[in-house]
Amino acid sequence: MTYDDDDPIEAYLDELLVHLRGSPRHVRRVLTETEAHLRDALEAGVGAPEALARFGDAHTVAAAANRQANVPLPILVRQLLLAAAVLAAVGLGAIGVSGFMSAGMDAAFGPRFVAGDLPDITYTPARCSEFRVLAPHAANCAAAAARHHADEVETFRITAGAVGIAIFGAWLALRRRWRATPATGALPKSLVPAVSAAVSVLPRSRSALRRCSRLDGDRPPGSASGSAPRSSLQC
Amino acid sequence: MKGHLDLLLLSVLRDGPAHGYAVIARVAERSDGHFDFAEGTVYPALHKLESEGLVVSDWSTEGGRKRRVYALSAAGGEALAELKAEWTRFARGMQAVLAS
Repeated sequence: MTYDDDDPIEAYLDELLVHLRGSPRHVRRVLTETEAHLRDALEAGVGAPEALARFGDAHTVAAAANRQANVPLPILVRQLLLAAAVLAAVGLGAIGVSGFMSAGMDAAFGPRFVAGDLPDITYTPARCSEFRVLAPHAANCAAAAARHHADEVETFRITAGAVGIAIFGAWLALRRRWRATPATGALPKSLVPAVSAAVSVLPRSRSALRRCSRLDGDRPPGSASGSAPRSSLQC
Repeated sequence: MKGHLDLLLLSVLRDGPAHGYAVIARVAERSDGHFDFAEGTVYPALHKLESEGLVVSDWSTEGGRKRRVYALSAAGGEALAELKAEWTRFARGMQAVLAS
């Protein structure tokens, strides 16, 4: 197949297609009518640049056409479900990968590297006993806690990864099943990337803020309450 | 202009069925080129009129090119009469104010 890259009308139709939303039938109708209109203009002796200028830029025309797209609610719900499923699958899959990486680091450097406590963390004797039961081969309470916490980190994350793979499978199956009633861009194009960015950034921001507030409270002994925190630069 | 596009489109379709390009050409011809709008936005306006039942449309092939031909429906004829009466009242009121 060859493409006429020099034809401005073809280029305009390509650009219009990218911006159009709605059912395939609606999109095809808009494109067919647009092409017929522009070819009619050329036949009437109007130059291609003028015909395109009179028709309006693709973004404006698509925005007007999209208002009439009327994507049916079931299709919108399906697209939302598919988008949510792929987001969940990718997110949980990434957590699963981090679980395998934690397991690798555990094997290479030991459980303290993965889930070792900060030096000032201590446990009650009762909690130590629980750790000893969960990690009977550990040399002491701190080692037992690290073993238990590393096991938790690895197990929970790898389980999350397995759930992600299952959701990915469901996503593939649903996508195949719902292919009969697709809608071109029923959801705004920026929705999924925006939600993905928010989902990945917000928890990090929250944990960073929590860390900052913890560090903020970690003032040198005897310092005035208004003085700069010792570790504020680490935020 | 935007609020009166429906009236313009219904009005030119009263002369008979036409595809989009011809509808726009009729508006341009009758207005003596006075109305200047992005021609591409006329199609969504025609689609809206169709979804409201004021125009009907069907595919036709002329000269090997597929076109959607629009025609005024019975409801469209009634809507045209109402919109036209409304516009006439508005124009008369404006004229009276401007002339005083």
